[in-house]
Amino acid sequence: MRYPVLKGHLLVVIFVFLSSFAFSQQIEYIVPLNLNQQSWSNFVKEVEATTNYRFFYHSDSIVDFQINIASDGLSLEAVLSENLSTQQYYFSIDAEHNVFVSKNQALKAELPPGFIDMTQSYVADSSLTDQTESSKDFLSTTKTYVAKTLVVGSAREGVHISKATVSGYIKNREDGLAVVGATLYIPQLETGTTTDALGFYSLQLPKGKYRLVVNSIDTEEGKYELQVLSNGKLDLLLDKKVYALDEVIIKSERYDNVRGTQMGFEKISTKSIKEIPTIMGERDIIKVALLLPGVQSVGEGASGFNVRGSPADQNLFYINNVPIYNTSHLFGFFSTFPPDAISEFTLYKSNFPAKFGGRLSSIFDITAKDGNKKNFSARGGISPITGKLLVEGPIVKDKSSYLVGVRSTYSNWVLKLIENPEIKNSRAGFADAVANFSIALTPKDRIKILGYYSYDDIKMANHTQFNYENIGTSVTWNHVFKEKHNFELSYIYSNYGFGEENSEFQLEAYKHSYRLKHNEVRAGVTLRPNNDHRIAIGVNSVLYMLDQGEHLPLNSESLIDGVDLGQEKGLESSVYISEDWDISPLFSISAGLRYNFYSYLGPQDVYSYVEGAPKEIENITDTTSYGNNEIIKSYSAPDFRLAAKYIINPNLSVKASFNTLHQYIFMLSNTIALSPTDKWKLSDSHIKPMSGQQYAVGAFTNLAKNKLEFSTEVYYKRVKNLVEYKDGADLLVNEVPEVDVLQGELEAYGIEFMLKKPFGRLNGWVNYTYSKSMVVVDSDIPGNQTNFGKAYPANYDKPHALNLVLNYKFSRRLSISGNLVYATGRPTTYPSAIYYQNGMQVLHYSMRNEYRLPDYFRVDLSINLEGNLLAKKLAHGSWNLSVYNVTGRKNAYSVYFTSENGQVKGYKLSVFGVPIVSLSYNFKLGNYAN
Amino acid sequence: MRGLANIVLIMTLGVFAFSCVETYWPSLGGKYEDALVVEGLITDKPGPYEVLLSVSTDVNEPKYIPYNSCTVRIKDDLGDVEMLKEVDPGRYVTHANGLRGEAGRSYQLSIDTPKGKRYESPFQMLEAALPIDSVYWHVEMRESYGLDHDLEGYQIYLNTAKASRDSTYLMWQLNATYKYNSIHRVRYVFDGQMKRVGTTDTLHTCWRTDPVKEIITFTTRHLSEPRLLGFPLKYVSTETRELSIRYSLLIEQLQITKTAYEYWQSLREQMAEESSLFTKQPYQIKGNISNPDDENDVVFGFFTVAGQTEKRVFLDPPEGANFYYPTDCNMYTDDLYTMLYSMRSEWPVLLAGKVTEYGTQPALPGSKSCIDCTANGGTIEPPDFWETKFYNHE
Repeated sequence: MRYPVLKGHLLVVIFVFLSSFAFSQQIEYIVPLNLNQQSWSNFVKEVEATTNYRFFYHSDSIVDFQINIASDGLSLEAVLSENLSTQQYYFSIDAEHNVFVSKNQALKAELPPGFIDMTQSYVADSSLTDQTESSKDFLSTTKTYVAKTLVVGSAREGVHISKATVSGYIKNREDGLAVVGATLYIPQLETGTTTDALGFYSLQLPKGKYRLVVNSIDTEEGKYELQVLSNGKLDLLLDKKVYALDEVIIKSERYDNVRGTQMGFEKISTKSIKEIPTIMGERDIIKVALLLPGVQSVGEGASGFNVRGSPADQNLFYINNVPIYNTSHLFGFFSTFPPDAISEFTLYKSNFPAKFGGRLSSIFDITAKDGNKKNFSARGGISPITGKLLVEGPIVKDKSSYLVGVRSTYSNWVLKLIENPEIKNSRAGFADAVANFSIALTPKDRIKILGYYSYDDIKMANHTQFNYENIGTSVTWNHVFKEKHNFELSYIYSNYGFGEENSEFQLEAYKHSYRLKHNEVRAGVTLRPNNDHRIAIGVNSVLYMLDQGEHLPLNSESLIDGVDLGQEKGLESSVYISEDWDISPLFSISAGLRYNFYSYLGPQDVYSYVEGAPKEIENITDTTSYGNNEIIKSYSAPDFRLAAKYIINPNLSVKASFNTLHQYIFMLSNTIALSPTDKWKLSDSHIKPMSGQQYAVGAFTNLAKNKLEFSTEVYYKRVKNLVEYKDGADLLVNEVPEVDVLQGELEAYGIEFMLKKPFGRLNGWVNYTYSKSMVVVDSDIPGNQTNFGKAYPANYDKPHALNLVLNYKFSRRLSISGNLVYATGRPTTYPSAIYYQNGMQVLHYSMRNEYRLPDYFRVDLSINLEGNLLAKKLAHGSWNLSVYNVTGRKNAYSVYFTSENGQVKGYKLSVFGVPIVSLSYNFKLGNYAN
Repeated sequence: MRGLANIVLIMTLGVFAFSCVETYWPSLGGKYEDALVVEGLITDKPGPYEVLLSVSTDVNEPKYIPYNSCTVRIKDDLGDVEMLKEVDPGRYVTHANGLRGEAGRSYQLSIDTPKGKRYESPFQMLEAALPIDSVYWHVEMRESYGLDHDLEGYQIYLNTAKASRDSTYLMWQLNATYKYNSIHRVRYVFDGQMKRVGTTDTLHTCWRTDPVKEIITFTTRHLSEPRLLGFPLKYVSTETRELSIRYSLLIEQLQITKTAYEYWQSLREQMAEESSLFTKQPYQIKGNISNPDDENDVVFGFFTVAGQTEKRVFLDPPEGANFYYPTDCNMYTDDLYTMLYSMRSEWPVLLAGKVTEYGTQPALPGSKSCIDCTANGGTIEPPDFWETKFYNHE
């Protein structure tokens, strides 16, 4: 006789409650040896026939197996414990001799507190009771998940408390690296937390037994039975994800879509994008970001991207706290982040954590990989244009590690193939490097040091040379106190500069330079008074030192006059406090306040202009000189960050957020895409800081038994004091930029839909975005308008955008991936009339961005072949064959008109107008799974 | 700066060779603006000065439409006014001994249309002309795209005198005149009968003059001293017949106002804007003509007031130059008379002589321009200014 076990603790408890009315005597039943080697079903039948024990389980969930009875005289509990634990089943027996067996889920055959405890609860192998420390060791020896009860604290210490704090680190079993951003979740309490940048977590729980589920991108899910007796430490080791047949290859972060408070955010690990088709074999996280909803670019080869209708200089790129001011190699074709040295990136589009500020549109937060703390390891690869190598290993085993990754172009062979002499005589080289050191000083103190470098050296047709470099470093000290609070202090330095030498026009041959230095100190503390609250408090201060450069004659034949474009200095400081509060298991809010102080500092000569007249050289009335570090102009303003989440049901939640931000540095750029010579400039007494606000609401749901994640977000955004320019302004050699700057407003709104299938043989995502982004620059002062003061679509306004990313895994060794990208053509300005001057045709253009380029459509494919799967081998290799723009569609980058011998001709430029095939090879020491 | 756009285009083309540029004309939906277009110039050279009025057209059907029957006046800052006379439709000129531009004076153009609208320019000061110091040229070879040889030709440079002010704004108008020969000489004329012609062939040598359709502007604003040295004015190559015998370039250097410079410079940039990934947004370039009663009334063009100097130079073919303009004018002798009769409407037909084993035979050249230099747009009379090279043996 079998009864199906009803799932859910409550029902079980009720069941136990009812059955416990009939008291019966407890008689120890000894299992007879003749049941040895019987099947489970026979064993159950026999026991039920000869005793008053009754078994409850779901016949589907328990596969028949043989019962093994080691010796005579064993109790039923002992036999069940021995046999079920190996099968990963749980059981419990109540006073009524009812035996509940379940797969995965421990059934609590216990009564509400205060009721007489008539049941005994067993969990297989409970021998670890009261051995707090041993739990860790035990876990490290298990390869696969087995139901174990981990006991935290001791009953003695917990006598007088009802709640206890459990904290510790979550690490990767193989390399001992911290698992960052892992989610810990207690289903019974519907509460949880996440690990911080060091893999540290802290949970406050009522004393008792819990199921703990731990998830992260890179590791297998861990499930633990937890018994909390008092405060204590619990470190967990998780297995690195093994790329099994049905493993996730392409996936956006496995962050819980429904449960997490965050919205307007995307998190992607580089591992998960390794099969996405590439251009010229270069994996590029920025290109991947362009496949996410709400992320657009002006066109292929354009530097950076546009998030939710904002210009590209409103994005802030960090790699381990180091801001990167130029993210492009070769003017925008590749990004300056070597993918091998990156573990993941997070893109915040709305709902910015209060610790971030300074840009209006997005924070692109890149985490460099930590070195392997256990063994030396190396990997590398070769693509048609670059070679790369990465080495990592312990400095002190299990404590400190290093990682150094470099990438460099190795030849200009592509250029040499081209007939055009101007190109043949060109050179295009770039390189980048990341070095990351992680040092554990004490169990509570760690130091992380990052070094970053990127370089471009481009020579064109014997007459123009460009050099670019980013140098960055950050030193971060992290200290954990009282087991659950966290203090972090960082010093950050970033330096971006470029140089240009141009002799194309001998008379004006020039060299030009630019440099920006960013010095920053940041301190922050994260407090977790209890599970429901998480408080972050911090300060930061950035000293910007900009050298707008010199424009000098290149040689003695050049007639130009040298111009020093001057230095700029600014100090941007902020204090912030934020609080994440889980008001109830279903409802949480997150609120932050960031207060920004910005000062534009001397030395500087500042011009005054005639009131009410356009700022023009002719209208300068006075010059004021400011001394070194003298405050020329200060701005201060609060940023408000507010977000709320409400869980409607376990598979559906709604979220809303409101954010305000301020930006004190912007790019002087009036080209359609950021140009190679665009410069960062500080807000000053004439150019006001930009401010932005964004409202967003979203719904998040998991479908088809969590196999699919669906989300939709609606946003509305406004930017004030958006920096725009007078028509045709020349910004490279501009001693008085304020003369060409106009400030306007940007209004953007949109709706994004994202459907993800994170797992399975077939995985990937599809998203669709409808959005608008409009700019208006109006003024009562004539000449201070663009487009006659009328609103016009921003250059990157692409109302309809669809991205499809799919990966299909045929076997562990072979997979194919594909992307499909569709977007409305970007707005453009076309001629609206033609007329003659001096016998030449001249065009008169329409209102700004009145027309649109033809729609954009692209399909990419790639095939990935992994080397053999032998467990013992020296190195593992993999091949990636990518075809970018398979259909060869000549997507318009721009349509333009030129005059040839007085006649106007129209042309269309396509950047990648043919399919681009590239083959790249990557290797690493160790086997496939390492 | 100048050229960055090109460079970057090369870069984008070059790094990958995957990009491509193709001719393309977007659908513009038939929207266009028809507005008054003004082209006018007054200099300190003796008149007559000319003002051309036309109407803008649809981009898809460019056409020069003169605007006639307007009342056009030029006024100076002393209050003197001259009304221009419409000599051709849309072409208005001053009297030969009428208004004379003078440096230091300011001039204004006003136009009254038959529709009763009034347009005018502001008063602009005529700047004293900056003298041209010298014009010189070098043979320069250039690597070229799409040709199997390097370009060969003269790069013409200009030096100016030193200007009196740091910011001098200049614009050049170039007129090229060249002497050339037809490929074949006329030996026969057929007008129903084949006639031999004498030894003088007046259709063999021509002179042709073309304005250089290019906006050339420069400012000394950012130079260490306000003087141009080695300003590259024009490149003339052996790809055309321009350099085949003698070439002359008339350089008119206009010293213009800052506003005029900005207008022409903007037009130049916008028209020369090769596509690159980093182009500026095209915009509506405003001239200096407006409707004083309605600031929204659209009107195009510019009334330029300039101090003018000019210089003419003559260039002879580079020594040992290779010419690449087409010279292969086939001559047809087969079925000659059938062909000639079928060309009745073109009679008289000019024929060359082809030397065969039977003596010289009439032969029909592939096109008229092979034998008649005027068919290439030239005139058989040398222009007044033409100077013959004294040791020329032609």
